[in-house]
Amino acid sequence: MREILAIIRNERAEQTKAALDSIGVKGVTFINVIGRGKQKGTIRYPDPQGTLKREVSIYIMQQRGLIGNPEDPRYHAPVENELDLGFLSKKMLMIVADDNEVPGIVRAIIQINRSEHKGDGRIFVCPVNDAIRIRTGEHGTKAIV
Amino acid sequence: MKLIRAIIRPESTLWVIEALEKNGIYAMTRINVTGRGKEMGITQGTVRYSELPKEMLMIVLPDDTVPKAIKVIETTAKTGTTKYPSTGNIGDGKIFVTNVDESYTIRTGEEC
Repeated sequence: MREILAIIRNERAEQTKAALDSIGVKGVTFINVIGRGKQKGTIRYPDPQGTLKREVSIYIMQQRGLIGNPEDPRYHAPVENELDLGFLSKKMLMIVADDNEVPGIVRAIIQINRSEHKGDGRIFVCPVNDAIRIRTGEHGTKAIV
Repeated sequence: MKLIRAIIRPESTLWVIEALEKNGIYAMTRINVTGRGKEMGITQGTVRYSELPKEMLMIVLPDDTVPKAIKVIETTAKTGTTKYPSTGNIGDGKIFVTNVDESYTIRTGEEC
């Protein structure tokens, strides 16, 4: 038995639910979380019209207290079309499944959530020792099917 | 690879994040949780608070950086009194470490 922790984009949650339904995964727990990865929560926004200029994005960041004093060791000069948001809102899925079902579930989640942009999220697979259904007191694999 | 779940005081979260950043650990997930420990919450006068708000940090790290991260969280999340700065208080939280078998980056679809 294994636990799959998948951190995904909010807007793909419904599609992911439908995809998991179609491969026969019924029990999923969704949690609203905030998080960041290697990029420290920096997003690149599309700005084809040039409406949100660099000065504006610097102003927004200053207002949020993300950058300020250039003498601060954590200060980094903002890049054009980039906004440092700190932590971003994500959804975390928790699925406990049998060992042989795990690759299929992982593949389904990747297929739906992959947009080839940074921030698509990550999937972790952890071992689980036991599962118990509270209603009946069943243990192990019987409790999760 | 290990998954660290640190349940800490909400007011110490930013300090812990800053300390982890200095040690080169940026990637993490934050969840607002409520919970209690073996003291069963807190009693203030005649009012009993059975669950207290905490913040859970979830960090997945390679095995060799885990002890350093635990040390950083431990020293930063511990609250002290003015008299004995390193004693800590009830409610400072706990750190749990569990195994992670596999991890995938969704963007590339590959195991990492």
